[in-house]
Amino acid sequence: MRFNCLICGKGGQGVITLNRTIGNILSLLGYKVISAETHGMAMRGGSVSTFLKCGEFKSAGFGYNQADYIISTDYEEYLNNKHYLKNDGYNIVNTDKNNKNNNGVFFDATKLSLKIFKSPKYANYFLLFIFFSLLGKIDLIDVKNILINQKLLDENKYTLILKELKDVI
Amino acid sequence: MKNFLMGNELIALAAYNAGVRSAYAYPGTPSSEILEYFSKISDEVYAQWSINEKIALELAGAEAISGKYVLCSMKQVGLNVAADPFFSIAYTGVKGALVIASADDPGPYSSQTEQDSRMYAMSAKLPVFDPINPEDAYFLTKKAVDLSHKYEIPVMIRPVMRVCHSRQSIDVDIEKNNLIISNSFEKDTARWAATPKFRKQLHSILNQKLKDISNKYYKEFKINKKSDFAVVGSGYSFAMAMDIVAEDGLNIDLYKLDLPFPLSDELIKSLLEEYEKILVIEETQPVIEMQFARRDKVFGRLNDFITNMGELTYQYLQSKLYQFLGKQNEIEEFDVNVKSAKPRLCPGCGHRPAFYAIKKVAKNRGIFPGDIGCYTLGVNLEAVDTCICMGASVTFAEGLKRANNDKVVIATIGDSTFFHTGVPALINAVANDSKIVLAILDNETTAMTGFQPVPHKHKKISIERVVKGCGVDFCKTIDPYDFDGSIRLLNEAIEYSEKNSTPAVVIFKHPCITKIKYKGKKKVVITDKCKNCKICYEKFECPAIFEDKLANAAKIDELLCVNCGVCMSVCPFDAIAYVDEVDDEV
Ligand code: SF4
Ligand code: SF4
Repeated sequence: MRFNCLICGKGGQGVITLNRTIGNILSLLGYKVISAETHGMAMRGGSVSTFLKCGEFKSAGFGYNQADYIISTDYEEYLNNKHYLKNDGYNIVNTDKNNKNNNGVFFDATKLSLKIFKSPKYANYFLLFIFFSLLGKIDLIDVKNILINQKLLDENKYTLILKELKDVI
Repeated sequence: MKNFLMGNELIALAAYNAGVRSAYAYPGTPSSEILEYFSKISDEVYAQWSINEKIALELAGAEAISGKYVLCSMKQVGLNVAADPFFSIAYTGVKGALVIASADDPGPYSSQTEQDSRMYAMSAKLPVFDPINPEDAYFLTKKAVDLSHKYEIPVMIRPVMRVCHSRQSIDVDIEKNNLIISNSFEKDTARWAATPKFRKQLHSILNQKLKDISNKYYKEFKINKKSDFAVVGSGYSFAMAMDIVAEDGLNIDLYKLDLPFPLSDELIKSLLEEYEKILVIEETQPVIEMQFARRDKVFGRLNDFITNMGELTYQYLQSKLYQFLGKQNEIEEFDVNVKSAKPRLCPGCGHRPAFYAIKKVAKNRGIFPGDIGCYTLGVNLEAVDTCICMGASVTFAEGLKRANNDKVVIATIGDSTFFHTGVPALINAVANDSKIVLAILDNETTAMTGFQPVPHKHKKISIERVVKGCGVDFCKTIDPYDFDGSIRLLNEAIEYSEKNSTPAVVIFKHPCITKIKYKGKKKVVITDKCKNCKICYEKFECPAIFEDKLANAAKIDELLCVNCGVCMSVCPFDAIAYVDEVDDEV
C-alpha cells in the first residue's frame, strides 16, 4: 500500500497524537510508514502540519498536489494546506461550519464527541475511523483492537463512535 | 514492523544498545526527547537534565575519560554554550566513548538561528554523522559510539529537526549487551591536564585520528556510474532527494555520505573524475561542498544554485533536481495563500497577567528585554522587545539601561533560563550598579520544550536565596493572578532600583497551567456590560476569548477557558464576572 497523507490543525488539537496513532496502527499491521511532525512553539496554538507516507520511502516529504488524503482538525488549517491535495484526493475535516465539497467529509466531530462522551477529547477518533474506512484495505476491527490494546479506546466507545459515523461512511 | 519511533527515540535507543549507560542534556527543541527517552529505557541508566549545555558536556566528558560510554544531547544553539569544552575535549579525546547529539533546526521552527552544528564539528576537528531519517539515525548512532571508542575521540551525530521529529516503522528492540566497560580514571597529566606544549602534541594526534577515520570509513565506498549526473549529500534533505529521484524516475546517481566530515580525499577525487556535474544537497551550510576542492563541476550553495537559507522543502528540491538535469520543470505553479495561526500563551497561563502588568506600569517609557521559552510569546503582548539568546535578557537590560537612562527597563526570564545563564548576568548587573527590574517568571517547569524538571523543583535550591546570594536586596514574590498586587509590587521595584542604583527582582510565581490541570470551579462569562473594546482578546489576548461579531461583544469559548478569572482584572468595564455573581445580580 502506498499513499501520502497530510494531517493538520492548530496546536493543542491533538494533531501530533493523531499522526502518531495512525502511523502506529499501520506499522503494527505490517506496513512501512514514515512521518514528520513539528513541535515547540507550534504547540502553543500555532499552525501544525504533519506529513505521513506509507510505502518504501526514505522521507516523509511530498510536494503540492501530491496528498491522497488531508485530515484536518480545523477548517482554517485545511484551507492553509489544501494545495497539497491531489485533484482526486480526499479530505476529512472537523468543522462547525456547513462546508461541503465533492471529495471530502466535513463534519462537526467536536460536537459529536461532546454529545456522546461529554468531552471534546474523542473528536479525533471520528476522523481516524473515517480515514481508515476511506482507505479500505484495512479492517476497522483490526484498528479497534489495536486501540483497545493500547488503552486508547474501549469496546463501548468504539460502538458509539461507529454508530454516529454510519451516515458519514 | 513492531515500532513507530521518533528519530530522537532511536538515537537514545541506539546509544543504549551500543553500550551507553549515562546521558546528560539541557532541553531544547528539537533535541529534548533524546534524554527523555533514554531515561526510560532501563533502570540501569543514569540520565541528567543539567543546568546548561556547557555543564552537561563537561560532566559527560568527565565520565568518558573514565572509560564510560556517554551520550550528551542538546540543540544547535546549546552547542554554542558548550563550545568551550567541545573544542578542548576534541584534543584530549576520551577513553570509553562520547557521542554528542546536536540537533539542528533548518527553517528555523523554534530557534534563533539556522546554524549548522557540523561546522562546529569541522572547526573542532571532530567526526560528524548526519542521518537522513530516523532509521538511519539509529544505525549511525551505533556507528558513532563504536567509532568514538575505537579512536578515543568524541563523535557528533547531527540530526536536523525533520529527523528528530520524524517517526518511522522499524524493527528494533532494547538489546542487552555484554560489553565490559572499564570504569576508572587513570591519571595522565600530559593528556587530561595538558599545558600548551602537550596541547600541540594532542593536536597532532587528533589530526592523525581524523586521517585514519576518513580513510577507513570510506574505504568500502563504491562508485557505480550509470549517469553523468551525481547528487551527493547527507541529512533529511538528501532523503527527500532520494525519494524524488525514485518517484520521478530521474537519471541521477545518488551518493549518501553518512559522515560529512571528515570526507576522504580519494572519494572526492574519484567522484570529480567520474561525473560531469555533481550537485550537493545538505542542510544548512556547505560542509560537504566545501570539501570538494574543484569548483567547476560542483553545484550547491557556494555557486548560489541552492538557496543559502531556510529549510529545503520537497517542492524546492524537486524543481532544483530538474534544473540540475537541464530538464523542463513540469511542476505546476501554485498560488499558495497561507494564513498561519501564530502561537500564543495558553489560556490561564500565569505569564500573561505578568506581562500585562509589566506593560501597564512602564506605560510608554518601558524597554522590555526578553528571553527564551514560552514567555518569548510576550512579544504578542508588546512586553518583549528583544530576544537574543539564553540569559541575554538580564545582560541586555543592563546594557539597554546604560544606553537609555531615562527609560524603565524591565527584563523577563523564566526559572529554567535564569539558572541556565541568568545568574552570572545578574551578578554582573549588581556589581555594576544597574538600575533594572528583573521579573523572574517561575512556573516550576521547562514548559516550552516539554516540561522538563527545574533545579528548584525539590526545594534544594530556592530562587529567592540565589537572587539574594547574587547581592540583590529587593526580591519579592507574587502570584501574577493577583493583578493589582503585581502592579503595586512592580512600581515598588522600579522605585527601589532607581533610588538605590541596583537591580530589583520580582518573582512571578504560578505553576504552568498545563501541569496543574487547573480548572476553576466557578465559570467565567462575559456579561452585557461588554462594550467590545477588544482589550481582553487583542491586548490581553487570552486564546479563550474571541469576538462575537454578530453580538458586537467579546465571548468566552467554554472549551478553552480554564476559568482562571484573570481577565476580570483587565476589563475596564467590569464586564467579565463569575457566572454565579451574574445570577445574583439578576
Ligand atoms: S505551557 Fe505553561 S508556561 Fe507555556 S504558555 Fe502554556 S501555561 Fe504558559
Ligand atoms: S477566565 Fe478569562 S483569562 Fe482565564 S482562561 Fe478564561 S477567558 Fe482566559
